[in-house]
Amino acid sequence: MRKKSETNIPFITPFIEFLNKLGRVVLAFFKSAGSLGLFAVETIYHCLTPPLYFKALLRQIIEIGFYSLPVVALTTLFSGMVIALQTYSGFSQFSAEGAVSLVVLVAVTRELAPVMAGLMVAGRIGAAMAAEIGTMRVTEQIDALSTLSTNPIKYLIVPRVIAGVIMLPVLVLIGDIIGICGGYMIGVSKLDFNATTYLVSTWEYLKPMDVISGLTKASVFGFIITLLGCYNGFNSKGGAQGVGQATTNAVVSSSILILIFNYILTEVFFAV
Amino acid sequence: MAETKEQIKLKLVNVHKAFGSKKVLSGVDLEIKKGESLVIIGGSGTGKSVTLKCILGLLNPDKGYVEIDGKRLDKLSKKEQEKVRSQIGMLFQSGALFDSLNVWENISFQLLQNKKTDSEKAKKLAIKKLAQVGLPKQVADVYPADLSGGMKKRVGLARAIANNPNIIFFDEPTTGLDPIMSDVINDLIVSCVKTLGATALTITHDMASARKIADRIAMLYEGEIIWVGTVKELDKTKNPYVRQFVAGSSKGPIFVEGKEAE
Repeated sequence: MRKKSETNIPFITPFIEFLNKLGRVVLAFFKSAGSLGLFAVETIYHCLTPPLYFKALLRQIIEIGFYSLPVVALTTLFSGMVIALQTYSGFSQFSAEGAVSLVVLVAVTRELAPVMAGLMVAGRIGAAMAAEIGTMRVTEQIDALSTLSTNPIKYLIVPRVIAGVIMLPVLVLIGDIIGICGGYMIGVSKLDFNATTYLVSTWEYLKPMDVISGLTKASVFGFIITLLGCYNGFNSKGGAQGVGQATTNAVVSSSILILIFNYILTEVFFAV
Repeated sequence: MAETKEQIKLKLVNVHKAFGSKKVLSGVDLEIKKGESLVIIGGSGTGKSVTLKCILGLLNPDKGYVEIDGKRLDKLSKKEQEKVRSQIGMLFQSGALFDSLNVWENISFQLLQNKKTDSEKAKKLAIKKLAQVGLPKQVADVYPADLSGGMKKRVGLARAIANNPNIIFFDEPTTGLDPIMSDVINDLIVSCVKTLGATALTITHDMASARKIADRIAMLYEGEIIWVGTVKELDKTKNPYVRQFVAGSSKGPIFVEGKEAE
């Protein structure tokens, strides 16, 4: 019967096929979103209940915080320098060069430092976590943890997520200082600003909310990066190819989510 | 009656497991007596590893249940399940040693992480276990990446027996090893199981290994146990599936993918 209607009405078969494919994609999306949601809930639950593996946490704090410092410092330094140059070239048309220090301050603390640090750490740490945990999955090391009476979420995921949530704000705070210094260096050495005036105006324009919003964003980004890195690694399948796929997924998904949550948090903090 | 029940250490009752539309286990029934060494044989993809993972709690059966010491695992709380499973040791096919830890930390993992034993004591115990599997104490500080396949299996075995378990599982213990090293591992398995007085369950398709390790052998085919018997009975059985598998012949009732195409 169905075959008859398919042949009689043109376009109906391709339309049903299209709906089929669309349905599958939508279902797959909700399945992954649900699975990630459950993973996040389980992780948060284990973050709040003992035991906590302090040695593993310390190792992750050093890995995420200390070893990511050079890359975050470089990106925020050059971002601050570029913002100073671009603001000067744009604002000088309206004789508003004096606002350079304000723009550098606001841009770095509210947006550039958290987003740049988030994206850099996603590339460095998110990928490494997905690859390491993914390899552990395909070589049965995660199963081995379970057989040794150790909860893999507690031992592998919780220290990484806590370290990410704690260390990203620390990195961003350092990035704020370095980014502002970058703007100051360009302002004083290239744009002929008076060093004292630049520093004084920066200090006067500094509002705690700008820094707090940036640090809050950093904490959320830290959670996103580590959670997605761990989630993709933890659920990787199929050997080397699966681990590669997990690594790519971790970096791409966390980068996209960082940008989406950056907008949402900006709305929350600064929407008029 | 009660006496018989007491002697059964591990029991699988009508265990089913499917992945999507693919049925892997279709009603596995098996009993292992206390102190017995049972080997499950069967071709690749017959559900041997899935059976093991269902017992270990790494997979949940869709239907049926697993009993250890007469306790149904699905009726126990998570904490009680963990307690029951803490008496189980497992040797993985690939060794599954933790890359980031050296050999002694791998062996004493459970003591260091869960029992908070101090490092010195844990290392001493690890060296003792290394000696038990025939490895020198110099190996203790080496990382798994620097070990050969045979050494990895031995370290895996040392880790499996570190907590003095009363049930030990061996997943394809001789796969990837040369015949001499396979025999060494088989001997070690026999001696470790005897020393501990443990109940052992091994899955393998290596018949030489099965003959050496097993008190009884069970054959898994298409998700069901189709034959159980002693090594002596294995040689006399008329079951065509078992005969074909033991002979290692491609001719017989066992379905082999791509056989028709040849």
